[in-house]
Amino acid sequence: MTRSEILEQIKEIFVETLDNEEITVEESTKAIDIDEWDSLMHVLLVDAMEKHFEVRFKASEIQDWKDVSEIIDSISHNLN
Amino acid sequence: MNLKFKNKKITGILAVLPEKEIKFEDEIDNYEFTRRQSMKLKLVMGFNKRRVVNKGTTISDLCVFGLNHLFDRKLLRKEDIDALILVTQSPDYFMPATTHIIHGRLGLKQDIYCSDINQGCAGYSYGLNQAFMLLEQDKINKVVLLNADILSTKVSEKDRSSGPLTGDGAAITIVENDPDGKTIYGSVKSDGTGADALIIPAGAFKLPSTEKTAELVKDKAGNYKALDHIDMKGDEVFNFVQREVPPMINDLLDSAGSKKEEIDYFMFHQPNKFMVKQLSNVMGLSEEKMPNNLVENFGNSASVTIPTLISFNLGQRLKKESFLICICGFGNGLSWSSLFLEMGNLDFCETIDYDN
Repeated sequence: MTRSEILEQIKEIFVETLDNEEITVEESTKAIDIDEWDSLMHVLLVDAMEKHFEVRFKASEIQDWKDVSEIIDSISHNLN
Repeated sequence: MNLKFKNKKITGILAVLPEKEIKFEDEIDNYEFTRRQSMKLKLVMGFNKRRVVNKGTTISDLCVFGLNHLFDRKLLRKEDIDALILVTQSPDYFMPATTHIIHGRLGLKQDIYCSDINQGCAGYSYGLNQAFMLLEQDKINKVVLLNADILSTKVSEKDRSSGPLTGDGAAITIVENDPDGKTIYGSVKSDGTGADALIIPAGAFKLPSTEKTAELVKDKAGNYKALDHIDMKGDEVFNFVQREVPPMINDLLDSAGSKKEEIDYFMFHQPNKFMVKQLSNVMGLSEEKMPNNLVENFGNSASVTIPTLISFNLGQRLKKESFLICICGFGNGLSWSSLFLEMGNLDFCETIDYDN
């Protein structure tokens, strides 16, 4: 799966989990850029991404992501 | 700091939970979740139901009720209590200590050591470590450890991170000398640089409660909180727990010369379902070995979760059988603490309801 394909699927997960059609998700997007993305919703995002991509993130990955590009890194790494 | 105790044992555990139960469905309107988010949160975080006290009920009410239950059934005698220690962050008063309130209400003997300990979710293992230290004294043969908190009263009704999870309760643990007791291994650690990760900013002496501190303020995620309420930086607490707890347990078991596979149960504090699941993943433990069913049934009651978890999952079995158990609590301070011990053949191990 290419980075852009992963990003597209992440976008859908964000829209669905945060229940907001208007949010913009790019590689550079950080939690601070999306109002609804607090630590509680982060948990739901992690859970939804793990189920969707059939991966299991390490606790250290979950806490270290600085932006969406690092989430894509984790998913790519876990898929390979 | 690793600790070691010889010839001591736990002889009874009683959890006291308020009868009043709040269901997540019934308070869902407070939090602005969509239906889909609510269903997910139920599964992933354990938002389901929790026990809370009615307005006016204090921790001394819960503790006195539980102790009277034991006195009435002759499971404990007043005159045998040489030390009464209480771990809480919701005392009846700033002064005097709530152990003295309980002492007075029950008419306990004067020749007794009474002390409150200010610890949150690390408080069960912290309190047990303290109880074992007290038993080193010749005059102290029986310690009653109380853990009690009613922090649901300090959470904003519109705080969607902590609101649906916070429960109340008390637990009584009896700790005694035992010439045949196996060595107990303990560990306590602290990092005060993280003090603001989980804090009630106002209400004590630094920032007394005023109209201003009671004012609800909306944060960017849509939570309404006042300075009088519990304020948790969820991501910082999550990071702390995942970073510090697994190595502490490895170190504790190393010091005891034991391996994870030899332990029957890992009874850990239950902040929420996700956090415990992540810990069990990191440590490679099944849910059977590391129960994760407290929050969805009773809520997170700070230092009361571990004794309630033990009673809920093992209960009567602990009266006849014996298990190798690893206990670990972690929470505000930041503070984390653990114990590795054999537990079993208890005089009692049950949960009762406080009817208020």
